[in-house]
Amino acid sequence: MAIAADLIRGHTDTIILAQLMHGDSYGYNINRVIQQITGGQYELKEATLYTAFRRLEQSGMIVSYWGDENTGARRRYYSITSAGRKYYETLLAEWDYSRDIIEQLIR
Amino acid sequence: MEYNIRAYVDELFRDAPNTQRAYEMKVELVQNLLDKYNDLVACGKSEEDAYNITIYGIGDISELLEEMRRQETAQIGGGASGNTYYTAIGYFRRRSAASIAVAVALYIFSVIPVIVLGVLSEEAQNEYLAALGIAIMLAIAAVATGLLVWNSLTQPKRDDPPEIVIDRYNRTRGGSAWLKAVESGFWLLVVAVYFLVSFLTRRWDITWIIFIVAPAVSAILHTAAERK
Repeated sequence: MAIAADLIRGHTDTIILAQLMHGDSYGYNINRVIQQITGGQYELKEATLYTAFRRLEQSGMIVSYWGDENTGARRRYYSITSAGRKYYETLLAEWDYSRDIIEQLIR
Repeated sequence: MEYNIRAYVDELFRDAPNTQRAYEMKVELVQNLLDKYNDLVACGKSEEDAYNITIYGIGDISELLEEMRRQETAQIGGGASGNTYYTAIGYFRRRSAASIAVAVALYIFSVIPVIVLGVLSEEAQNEYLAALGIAIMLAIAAVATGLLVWNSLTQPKRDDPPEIVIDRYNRTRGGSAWLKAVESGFWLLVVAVYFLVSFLTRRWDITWIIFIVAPAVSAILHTAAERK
């Protein structure tokens, strides 16, 4: 399914923003939810995930902070900004549009 | 296995730029990989399998590091903030080493007054001198212990994220002036109070408790000052 993975990778930003629309989260948790939703069929590579985090944070779509769990591990949490929410809506509209076009073209 | 994961990421980041951002990225990645690994083990995977799946899942981070290197070398001219973390860590390491060295030296030297005053007391047939020697020894030991306690209380923990370390560093460096003044004179004051109270009450058998109370008072003062 390497080709399908390539297709999906182009939508990494949308996927991450969609997760953050539900609330703040950290890297592994986002990946775990993605895995659960897809029934274990899809999972982001850490390299892809952190490249996307970095890109989104630099463009102001998300912000990050270190959580303060009382026990043991401390994690970096990400939170979507209002610009990020707008961007997500745009990406979603774009996806709907291109999906319809592709459907028309290949069926 | 957890050690192996840390070691693997260390190796991955060997050529990473020496900046705070890169360091944070590494801390974050390690934590997430450990989460994933522990989850896999909890799901019944063998440690070996869990490790392999975790490592395989990282993918190729060379591009990410390359991009970071490019951007951060461009930024370094603009501000040295990226190196603050290393400055802070270096400061805490040096301070810790110095505190421990001084404390150990104090422990060793603390027996000198006992020996010297012990000999003197025999010559002068005065038992108070011997008692004074022991009192001074205990006082010095208390100072050394206080130093060690203070050091460990104000030291950042090993896995504190960089922001916390820098925060502590800034607070220590720019700590309120009165706290610093009190700190430097604190133990001198405690010893003075000890002798004053002891000579006045002549209850040498009980006044040493001052030295047990003092570190607690010191800790409370520190906490109170940090809250502000």
